[in-house]
Amino acid sequence: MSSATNHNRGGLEEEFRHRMQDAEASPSADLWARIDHSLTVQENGQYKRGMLFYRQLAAACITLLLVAGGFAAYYFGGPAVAPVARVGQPSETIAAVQPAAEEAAVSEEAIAAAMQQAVQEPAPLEPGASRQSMAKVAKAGKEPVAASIKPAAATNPTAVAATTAATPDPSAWHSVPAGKYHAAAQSYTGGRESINARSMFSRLESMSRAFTERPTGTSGFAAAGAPALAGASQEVPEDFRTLNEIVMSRMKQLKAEQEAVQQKYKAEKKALAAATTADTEQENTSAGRWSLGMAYAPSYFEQNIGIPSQMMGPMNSFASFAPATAMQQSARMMDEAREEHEEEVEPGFSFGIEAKAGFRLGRKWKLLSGLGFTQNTARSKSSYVIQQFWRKPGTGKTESPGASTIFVPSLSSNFASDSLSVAKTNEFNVLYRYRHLTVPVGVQYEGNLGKDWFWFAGGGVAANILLQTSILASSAEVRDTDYELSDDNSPFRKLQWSGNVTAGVGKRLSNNLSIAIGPEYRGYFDTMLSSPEKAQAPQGKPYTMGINMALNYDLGPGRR
Amino acid sequence: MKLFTKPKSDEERLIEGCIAGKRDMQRLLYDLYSKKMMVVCLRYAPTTFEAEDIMQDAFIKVFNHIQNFKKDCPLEFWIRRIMVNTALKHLRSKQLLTVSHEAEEVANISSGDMNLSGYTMDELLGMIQSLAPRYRMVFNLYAIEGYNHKEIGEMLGISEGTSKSQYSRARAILQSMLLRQEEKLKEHVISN
Repeated sequence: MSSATNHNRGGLEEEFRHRMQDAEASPSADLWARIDHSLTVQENGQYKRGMLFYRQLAAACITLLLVAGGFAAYYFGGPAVAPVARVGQPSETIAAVQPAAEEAAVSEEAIAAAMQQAVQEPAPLEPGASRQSMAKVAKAGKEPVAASIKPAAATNPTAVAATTAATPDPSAWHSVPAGKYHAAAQSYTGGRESINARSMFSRLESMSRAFTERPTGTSGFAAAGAPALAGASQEVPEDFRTLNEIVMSRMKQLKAEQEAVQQKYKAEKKALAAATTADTEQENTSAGRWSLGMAYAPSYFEQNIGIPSQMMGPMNSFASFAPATAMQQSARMMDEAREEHEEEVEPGFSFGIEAKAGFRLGRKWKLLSGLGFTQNTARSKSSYVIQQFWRKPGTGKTESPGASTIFVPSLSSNFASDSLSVAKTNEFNVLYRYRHLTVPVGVQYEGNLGKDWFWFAGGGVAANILLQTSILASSAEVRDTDYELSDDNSPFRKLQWSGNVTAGVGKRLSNNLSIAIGPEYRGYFDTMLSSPEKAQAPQGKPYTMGINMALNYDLGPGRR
Repeated sequence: MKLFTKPKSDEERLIEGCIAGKRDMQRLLYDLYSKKMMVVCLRYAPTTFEAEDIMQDAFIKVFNHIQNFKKDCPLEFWIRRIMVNTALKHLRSKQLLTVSHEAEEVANISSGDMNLSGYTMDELLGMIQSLAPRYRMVFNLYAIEGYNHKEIGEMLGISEGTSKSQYSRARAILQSMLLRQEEKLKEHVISN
């Protein structure tokens, strides 16, 4: 401990050293008790910090999974949403209809079996009194379908009655609806046992059909089942109210418990801070993992939509009646319109806004997710107006969607029309606007540049739902085109996945508030058109390049 | 598998127990060193109350960081160093190490040998504690811990020259205190 270079020591120093070196003094008796308490508080704090971290991590994971699951359901569950309604539509594929048809068939079989068993349940039964017996069974057991799944329960009417007449039990609130909806649930699940699960949504839909569509196919069952269901439906609101009250009281209890734990944790943290200042760094890491932020990103958007070089012309039998010079002039004007479009199309002002929640992983990494809106635009100038005509078979009448630019007809994979009119007009502006709802998920890394400055780099993916596509012309002669989210005629991709990378610098304005700015590149994984393989021109993938400006607020004590 | 393992010393077992967080081992370590360390803390703190605060913080650090003890020096020295550093931090946090101007007059005393055998430990500690914080710190570090002025300057964030001048001032104050005590003692003997 002492330095070897310390030679200039006199007698006083040596005397003091000699007296003090091995001197002893008793500390107060409660000092160890204080140390012991501090160590205990510290250990509890470390344990709770660990627990809090894992709890927050679990919450973040669940949130991300829910978001991802929701969009996966939206994306993959789309075609199966209304299979029954589409059975009659010849345009739908057989594959899309088949699962629902299979499920419906199996449901019918299950119901038929249930009916048969329910009818056979009372031993002596007259053939002509089947409807009455069904009503009796339904009245006694309230569960004719359940009999096919649970024969033991069906042969024991008291068991069934006990199940169906179950009263709400506050101590087991989650079990309250089980008895009440037992019949409906069993009628569904029993019929599903032999089916491989295809998707949760098709099941739910089939379940709803079990209630709504039964009467058409099984009138006898409907007569028997309807009173039972009607009786159940009268009791539903009361049960829901009871259930709701129990759930709400449980939620309040849980919330109170959480607050108590948090307050205890805060109190212990204060005590710990008073007891030791050694691990302030560790405290900073664990505190305030969550953050909220908003971002605005003006950008350059390249839509990368190609139009065919050899395209529309009067390419049908009616064209043969047209004079050759008119045909040539029309083809020439089409070429000019296409060339003009290719030359004039350019990026327009695009922007995106996002609200994000961040969860800090360690000191440097941050997990981000949220919700956003982007509006990407491109623009061009045009001097040509194009109008397509279709002749209705048998009526001799022609139909036209109205005058448009060359862009709209070129998107269609089946643009062959019976006749086509091309006219030159005064130059007008065309705006192509795509509005997306985005759900981004990403990670960000932060490093310090100084006391208040930091740099960041990050990347992620986003699901982009095309809310609206508009093609707006400044000329009164040309019709504006709008495709909404639910528009089946839209040639554009409704769900678009994109990836983005960004980097930049930021400044901490206060303990909690910071701003950041940096360039951002966002590339879309697919073409704008939903069926690029059907388009007659090669389609590129769109991308944006812009500046991302973000405002971030750290929840908790902050980082500065 | 080791057939011959060196038997562990009591100190090693004590350290391992503390690393494992065993409270009885921590208590044993505390009992072993608390009395010596209390004197160290009393030398640096102006009051017993603050000395106990410093010792509490220092022992918690000892238990938190004992896994970092390299065994390149005796455990007692390692613990003592933590006590000194904690005391330094404690005084710095209370801004007691700012440059102070002693109002006390310092006699010009020759640096001859002095005999402290006639003083009790409490009297000597009382003298040290009565020094201004900066002087007390420099005196403790130089005279008792054995650091040189360059090292003290680095520890306290002052220059080597400042450390020297503050030490000589602290030394002179102590000498004058000792002289006054001796004069009082002589007067007491004569009057009797």
